[in-house]
Amino acid sequence: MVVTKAVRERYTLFQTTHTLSSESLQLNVAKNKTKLKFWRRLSMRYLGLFALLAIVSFAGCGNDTEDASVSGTTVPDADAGGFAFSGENALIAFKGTKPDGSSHVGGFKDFKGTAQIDEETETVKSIAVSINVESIFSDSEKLTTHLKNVDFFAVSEFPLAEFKADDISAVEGEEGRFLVKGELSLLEKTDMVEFPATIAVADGSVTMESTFMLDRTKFGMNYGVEDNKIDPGVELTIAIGRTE
Amino acid sequence: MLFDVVVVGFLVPFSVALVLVLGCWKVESFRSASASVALIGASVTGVLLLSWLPVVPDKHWQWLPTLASIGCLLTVIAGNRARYIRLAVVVVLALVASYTLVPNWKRLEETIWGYRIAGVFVLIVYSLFTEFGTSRSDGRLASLILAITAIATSILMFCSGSLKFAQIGGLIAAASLAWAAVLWSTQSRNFNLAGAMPAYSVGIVGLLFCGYMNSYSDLPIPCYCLVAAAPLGLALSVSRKSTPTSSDCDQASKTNGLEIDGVPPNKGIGPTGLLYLLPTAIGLGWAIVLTVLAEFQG
Repeated sequence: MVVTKAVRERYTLFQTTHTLSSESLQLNVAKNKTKLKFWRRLSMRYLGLFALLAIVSFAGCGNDTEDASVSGTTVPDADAGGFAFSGENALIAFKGTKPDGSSHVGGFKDFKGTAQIDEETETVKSIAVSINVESIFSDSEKLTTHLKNVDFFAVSEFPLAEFKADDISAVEGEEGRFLVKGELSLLEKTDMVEFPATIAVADGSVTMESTFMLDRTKFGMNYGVEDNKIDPGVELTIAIGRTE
Repeated sequence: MLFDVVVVGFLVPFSVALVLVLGCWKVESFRSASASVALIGASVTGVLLLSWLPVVPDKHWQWLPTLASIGCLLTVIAGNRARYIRLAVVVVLALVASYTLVPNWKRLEETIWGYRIAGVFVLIVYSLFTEFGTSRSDGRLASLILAITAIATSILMFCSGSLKFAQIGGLIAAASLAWAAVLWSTQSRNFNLAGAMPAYSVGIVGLLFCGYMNSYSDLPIPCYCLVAAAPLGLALSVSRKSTPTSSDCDQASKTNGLEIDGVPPNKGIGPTGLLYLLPTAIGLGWAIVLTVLAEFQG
């Protein structure tokens, strides 16, 4: 009986203390929950503010898209004794092909160039042309967008292409035929390019026609080559004095 | 061409990511790193298979797979350490990503630092939101949303006119689909998806940014923003906790293996769960309609 009484007393004491401790525990848990809710709400508000700041900052960056122009390039002026040409009196066109035989055609609308004339021999001694690559066009709107992207011309990064030829020599036995050698800067690379052309000079004006193959992979434009989907060679047609 | 985009840019990296997730899954000490290891695997596979993705990045967008891998490595190293260390990883990754991904083009000379600062803000916010959301929601729903967001991003890049960017998006989609495949094929609900979120965020946000900057399509900026919005919805809805959290799942996987007691399968995943994908669907649908219209007009 004595043992039972002692056990009862102990149990009652335990119940009282346990109730007290669980009450205080519940109180602490409730306090912590309130604290957590507060911090969560606060952090979410800060995150919201942060997001708003970010959006405003992005909007503040504005639209940096500006038309690339060929006016600020190293192409010498026609006043310096040369013949000036541009998209209005000349043509730069290309034809890209696929191994299955299909092809797409296109060209550049905005370019500016000068052909320097040797007054004594009445021949062209140098040619310089600067092309606004953003003015590229093709027979398909979707293809034009694709050509401007990083897969091909990466226009945003490389808005200009330049060609300078100082070595123009006559082809023996072929009157009016010349071999044009120069440097083409396209994308991030500059490489030597040479092509045959028919050039004529009359009364200070120049006519030139040439169709040749250009290996685009020399300029880092490799897309579709390794998987044999697009040919590496592009047929280029340059015509000064005609636009069709 | 589209075949190569799908096979090389998606199916092969997906297979590698899946093998890695399952491999890590079997080893308990690696389980929490499964998601990160899969993303590293998909990124490295992409760099090895895609000839135009160099090991040492040169152009700003070529940093995307590298940053995703570095981000995953950092989060794996940080592991379950103190919260401030994991936060530091997010901040460092956002700083490095913003510095490398914003192109130093001549026409951006005046605004380059504006873009970089804004990029840091956006990446930190997106990383924290997705980390918060995925750590407190059902892993299967989260993985599904992450995978669909990555696939949508890849398709958007295709619409914006770049197959290269579409393939980079395919790498992230491959990894996230591998997460989803494992989580949906087992009874488990999570394997620390949140750990891979800083790298995932850099991948998605960075890709959308690079895609927008390089695109000459007529897609408006809201298309790009909406596509990335789905994972943010998870973070905004976690206050209504109806599904087991990642810690519940981690605890369960430690004690019972892969199953969580008393949690019926598919709880919380249904038409309501898929509402999170609404902004992504709107953004992508808008982009597809504009692309198709442009094709017809062309």
